[in-house]
Amino acid sequence: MKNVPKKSTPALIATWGAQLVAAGILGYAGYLKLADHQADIELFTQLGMEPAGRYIIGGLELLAATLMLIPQSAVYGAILGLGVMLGAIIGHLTALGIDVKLLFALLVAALCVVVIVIRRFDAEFLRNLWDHYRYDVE
Amino acid sequence: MSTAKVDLHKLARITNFMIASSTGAFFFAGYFLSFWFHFGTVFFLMLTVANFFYRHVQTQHTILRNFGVIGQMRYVLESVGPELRQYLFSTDTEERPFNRVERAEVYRKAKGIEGAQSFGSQYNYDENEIKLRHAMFPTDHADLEPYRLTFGEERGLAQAYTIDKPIVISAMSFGSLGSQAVRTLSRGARLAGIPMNTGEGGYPKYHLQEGADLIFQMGTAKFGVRNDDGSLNDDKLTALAAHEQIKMVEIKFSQGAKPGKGGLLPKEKITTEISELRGVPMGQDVVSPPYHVECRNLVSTVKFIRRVQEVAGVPVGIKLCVGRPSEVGELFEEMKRQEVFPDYISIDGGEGGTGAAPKAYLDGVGMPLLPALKSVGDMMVEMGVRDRMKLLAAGKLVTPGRQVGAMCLGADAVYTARGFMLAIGCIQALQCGNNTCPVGITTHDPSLQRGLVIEDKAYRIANYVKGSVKDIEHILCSMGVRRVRELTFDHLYVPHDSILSVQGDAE
Repeated sequence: MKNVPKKSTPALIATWGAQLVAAGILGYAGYLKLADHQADIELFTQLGMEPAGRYIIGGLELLAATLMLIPQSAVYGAILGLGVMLGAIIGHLTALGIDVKLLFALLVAALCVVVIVIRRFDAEFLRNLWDHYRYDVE
Repeated sequence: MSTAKVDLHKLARITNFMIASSTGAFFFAGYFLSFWFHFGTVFFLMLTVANFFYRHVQTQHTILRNFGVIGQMRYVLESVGPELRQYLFSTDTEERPFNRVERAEVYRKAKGIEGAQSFGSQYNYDENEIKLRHAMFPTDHADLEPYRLTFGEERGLAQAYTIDKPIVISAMSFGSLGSQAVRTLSRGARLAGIPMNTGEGGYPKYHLQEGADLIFQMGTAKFGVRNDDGSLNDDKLTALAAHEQIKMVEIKFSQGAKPGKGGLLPKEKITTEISELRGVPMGQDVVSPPYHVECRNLVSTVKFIRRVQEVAGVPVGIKLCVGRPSEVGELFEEMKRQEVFPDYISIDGGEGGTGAAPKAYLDGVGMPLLPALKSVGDMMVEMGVRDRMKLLAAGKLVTPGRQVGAMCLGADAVYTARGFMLAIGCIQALQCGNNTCPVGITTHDPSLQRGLVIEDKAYRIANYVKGSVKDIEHILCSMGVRRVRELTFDHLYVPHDSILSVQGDAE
């Protein structure tokens, strides 16, 4: 895409760090859901979404993890990951109760926000969210 | 007005309210009815946040600030506008720079399809366009003299160069074009038996690769033959001109796309290889100087032409876009005084060609080809220099009608660049400066170049040349002449309010 400002080295390190950690957590969580992990079956039974919801969410988590590992699609992976994590946070706050999984959801959501902010110029609809010209007026 | 009218401001306010309240509604549905509804909660929550940023955080887009996400529709629609207009809404004769009728004619020739059409012209035939006059008694095709044009014959050069078709591929550098396109054009030129101008892109590595005859263009930055201060390095030019494929050298003084300004290669298109071939840094636009350091007045300019002729050994031409015909007249005067004439002069129309240029220059600087060519052609005859050099013309000369029109104004042969780009598949997407050319011509992106298959498209060039030459020959016969040089201004029908009848230049 044209006119994409170069990311600074610290920004690149930060976004790739966030992408790798988030993709790792999302990928592992998605794998457990699709592999019929007992705790997840109980969790989704509690939400009334067993088994279709578990497969859909697990699939979305794996998709987000994959997208986030590819530079061109990382920002879309982060948006998807943030969406799934918002759902998880809502689930924990309204139905499941507060536990260590909520902390992981908050962590991944925060990492996704980091990726979105650093990579905001990679998607046309995101770059309009912020101002990005500097006016050099004396 | 009493008819139903959409109040967009009200619609936007309703939309913005709905987005925010939908978040709440879905949340309650998710809480009380089924967790499935939280898919909606998350979606609308993110949309609400984005909307908040559009409306209250960013300050650059007025429409987004006033209308929110629904305002995004404007940008989405606007971004697909050019495509929609080209595919759906523009008539066959209204697009610019080339309308669909002109493009289709080039495409048909390039594919070797016969061009007979029925039921009349698609143009407003009686409007103020220039037409060719046919003769009551056309020439028999067998009586037509074979076309031959020998550059350098006036000077009796040992290395004089003869072309036998009146069409030449105009200057396009490697840099502005990708390597794949350069090779396609070069191979096509060889198949068609015509020469190709290299453009000012430095050592013509890819142009040489496919074996075509080349006209090496020396731009104001002299890429490939320069010293560090931008002056000419004689040794480098001698070495380059000694290459057997390089048949002529062209000194570019100015160019129709940006007359009075040097070449421009946008930074998006500068690869490692280009920066090496041209000797320029990456990451910034490459802007050639607006003039040759050797040429600051008439005397030094003509001296420089002589120097290049001596150093190169091959025929040397000059290319310029006319600003003031009187300046060209003064240049001819000085040539006569020094007894030095270039082997050809090429007049570039101000219409703007393939090159990237500031929009102000594309649209508003330089004389259009037809009046410029007429001024120069007439002046050459009046000043008695017509038989000292050849005259070439460039500027939207993609169809035979216009090509023969240029010949009536004095051109011995025509240059076209965009005609050949159309022939190898250009769809006029107007992306030339962005490295995103969808048909792989003006891009260095391998994933876009892969669509441009050299083996196939090179033949389009040969077909296009063959079809154009055939049409030109037929038109010459119909006009009752036996060779190009018999054409005169009287062979043109010029309506009284045309660009040519109003003598364009009131100096």
